[in-house]
Amino acid sequence: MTITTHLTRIACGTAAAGVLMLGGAGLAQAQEETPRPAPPATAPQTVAPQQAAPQVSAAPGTPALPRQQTSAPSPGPQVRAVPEGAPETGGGPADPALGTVAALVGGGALALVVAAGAVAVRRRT
Amino acid sequence: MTVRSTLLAVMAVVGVLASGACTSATAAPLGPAPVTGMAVAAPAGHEPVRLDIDAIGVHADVLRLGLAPDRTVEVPPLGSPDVGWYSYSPPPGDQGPAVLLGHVDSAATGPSVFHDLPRLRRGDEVAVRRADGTSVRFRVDDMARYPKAQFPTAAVYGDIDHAGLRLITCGGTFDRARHSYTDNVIVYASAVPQGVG
Repeated sequence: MTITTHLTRIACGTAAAGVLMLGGAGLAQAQEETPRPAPPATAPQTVAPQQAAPQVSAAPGTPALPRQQTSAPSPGPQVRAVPEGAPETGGGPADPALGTVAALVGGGALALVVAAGAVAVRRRT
Repeated sequence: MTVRSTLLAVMAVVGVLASGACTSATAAPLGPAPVTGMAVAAPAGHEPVRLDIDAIGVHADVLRLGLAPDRTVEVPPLGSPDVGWYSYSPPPGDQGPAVLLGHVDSAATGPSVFHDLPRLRRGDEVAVRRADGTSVRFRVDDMARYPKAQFPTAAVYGDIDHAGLRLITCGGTFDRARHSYTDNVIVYASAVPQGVG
């Protein structure tokens, strides 16, 4: 037996203990964070996003202990991304100037057609 | 003896590595869920598909809107007869302010879907049908007009303790130089609990 052997054994013992402790912690975490089924939603008013933390017992016969608030998720804002500025929800009314121009052009075209027709009728007679 | 020591050392290293692998494997599925969006994620089927406001003759399909590259809210295409739901807001009927936007008019097609929004009065009813076939009724609480520079971001998008609805369009006078209306008209409504007439 040498000093190296003793040191190695100590290291092995520490590692084994670490494995046991981490495994135990993982199991405890798994039991603590197992998601609970959500209560049924009742439209249109939805349930409050946050619920009171349940009391968990450390062991049978011992008083209940408050649940550790280690990873309680923040509910966050109801609107997940608030836009900037004001929305542009209007294209504007029809331009009255454009309407006047369109009416003038249309009227002029109609007058030309009528005049041309009148000339043609006069030539025939 | 040296061989035995080496073997024990190797076993110790393997044990440590195995314990690390074990914690990694359990941490992944048990880790906290991503916060973004999870707390207010829309239940499947609650997305609005149809808006009916009998008081002003609005019967429109609902599009899905997001954010424009400049981080302003998207709006339906000009001339569209549809209304848009800002999909980063809660679906109508879920807790929070559901935001619906529609145009007041279009130079090409004239008055648009929300042209008569300012005619709504307190108590008027708004109905929203959702993708799952359910409908939610709202009652108008208030209506207001704000200059665009004083858009009430907190009142429109801020958290509330009930299922609310915001109907938004443009108002005021049209500034032809800026191709924009001077104001926004906003209607605030609250969901009517089921069974209440």
